[in-house]
Amino acid sequence: MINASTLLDAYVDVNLLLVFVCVLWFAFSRALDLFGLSYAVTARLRMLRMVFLAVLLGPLFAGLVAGIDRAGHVQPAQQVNLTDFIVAQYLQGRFQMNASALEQLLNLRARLAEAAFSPAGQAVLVAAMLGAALCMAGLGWSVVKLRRVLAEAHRWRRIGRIDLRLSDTITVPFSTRGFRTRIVVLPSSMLERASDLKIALGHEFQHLRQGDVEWEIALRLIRPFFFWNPAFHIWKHQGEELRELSCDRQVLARRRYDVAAYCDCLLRVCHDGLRRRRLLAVEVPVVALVRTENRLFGGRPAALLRRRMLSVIEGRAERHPRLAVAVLSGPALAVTLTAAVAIQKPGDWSQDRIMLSTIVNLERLQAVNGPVPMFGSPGF
Amino acid sequence: MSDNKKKTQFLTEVELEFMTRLWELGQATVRDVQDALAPAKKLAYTSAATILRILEQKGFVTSTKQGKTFIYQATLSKDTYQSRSLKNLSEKLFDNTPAALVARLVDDYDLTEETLGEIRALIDKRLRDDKR
Repeated sequence: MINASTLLDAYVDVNLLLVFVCVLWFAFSRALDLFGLSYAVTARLRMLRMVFLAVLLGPLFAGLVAGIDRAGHVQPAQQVNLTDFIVAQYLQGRFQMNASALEQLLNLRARLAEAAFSPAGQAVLVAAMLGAALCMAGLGWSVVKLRRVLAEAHRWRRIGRIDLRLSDTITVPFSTRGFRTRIVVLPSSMLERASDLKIALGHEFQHLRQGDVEWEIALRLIRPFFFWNPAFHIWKHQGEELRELSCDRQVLARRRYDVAAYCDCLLRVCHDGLRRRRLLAVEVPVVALVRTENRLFGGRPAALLRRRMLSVIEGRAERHPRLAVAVLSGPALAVTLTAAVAIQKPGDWSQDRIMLSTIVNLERLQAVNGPVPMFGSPGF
Repeated sequence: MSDNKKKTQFLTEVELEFMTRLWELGQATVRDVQDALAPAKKLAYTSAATILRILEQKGFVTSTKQGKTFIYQATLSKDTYQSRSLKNLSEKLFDNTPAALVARLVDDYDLTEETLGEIRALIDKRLRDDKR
């Protein structure tokens, strides 16, 4: 039976892991750039998603490892725990710090859990719940808005399970999905520009092929639970940028569109989108051809468009993205899952922690008794 | 999704272009409308057919099948659509005061004496008709 405390621990773990992998991701991306792999956007996108899934499954994995540990299948030397590691480093003199301060730092999570029951903690919890409720309401409103746009759109064609629609009220093509069908909506004004229509369709089909719509919807659904965590937003926008860069590359490689025509199309759609920005100003769960609105942690849309155009003009083909993912994702997943296990609360008292506790107690005794009087001093 | 839902009152730019051609032609096939478009506004056959189908969904045209081709015909006249558009313009932009609309037209357009005379004649005729 899972109790509330376990769920809260898992929630805290996921948030901590998100921050950790976010920092790790930027270091990893920098390393890839230095090795001349800045163009490997598809491989990066797949890795980003894999690592995100690993973060979400991290608490389950840690629970599994704890179960194996309890069954006695893990040797003490093989156990990984961040608290034990830090204490061991401290006792070996690898870093200097006040023992009481270190103990307080290590017990931060327990103290936070206790603080959750204080009036201030309760107020923070209520604020977090209100924020989550607001996010959910925003999601609901965006779905209503999206349904209205879809209902007003005209059915154009149907290809298998993909529904193509034309809308008079949108200016930027986008794709989304229902329970069974996937939907691509294009501005009806695009019928006047056959080449743009082809490019937009190719781009949106590639989004559907990459599963971008499903990812977008899933991230929008879990956003209310992570709205306060900047790492989640940074992670999401990293995914969005890589998704567009990867989609552009794949579309150009697959369909051999003219790069200049492709860039012209992106510019035209962006221009049209800026003219009538209000129509889809609410962030709806869709994947659009271009982004026209500013978002927190998302950077300016013009900067993203510029990076996309530079990327397609540079036009370096991504060779063997699957191989790159297979080679690189192993270490990334291993680090993420190890971190998921390492950040768990330590089990039994270890020798090192007993030692740290003794030092803390001695420091406290010294503080209570005052300094030891020396020969010749007044108290001797 | 029922077609009734799709019935909107106004036309997009490209749809207006199509309707203008259809008002001129009376009845027309997709190919006829396509040929009547100005060279700069030429569209692919499939795009032209799609626009006519959307116009049918919106209730601006009807179609009848003759053999393998569809013949399209406008369901409302150009005058009716002009009135509807002007009414909308007057409501939205001129606070529902048509006099303001006419004043703007008279002030901003370089209307010739002849045109102003025609407008006056139209207004006089309307006033006489109302008195009867």
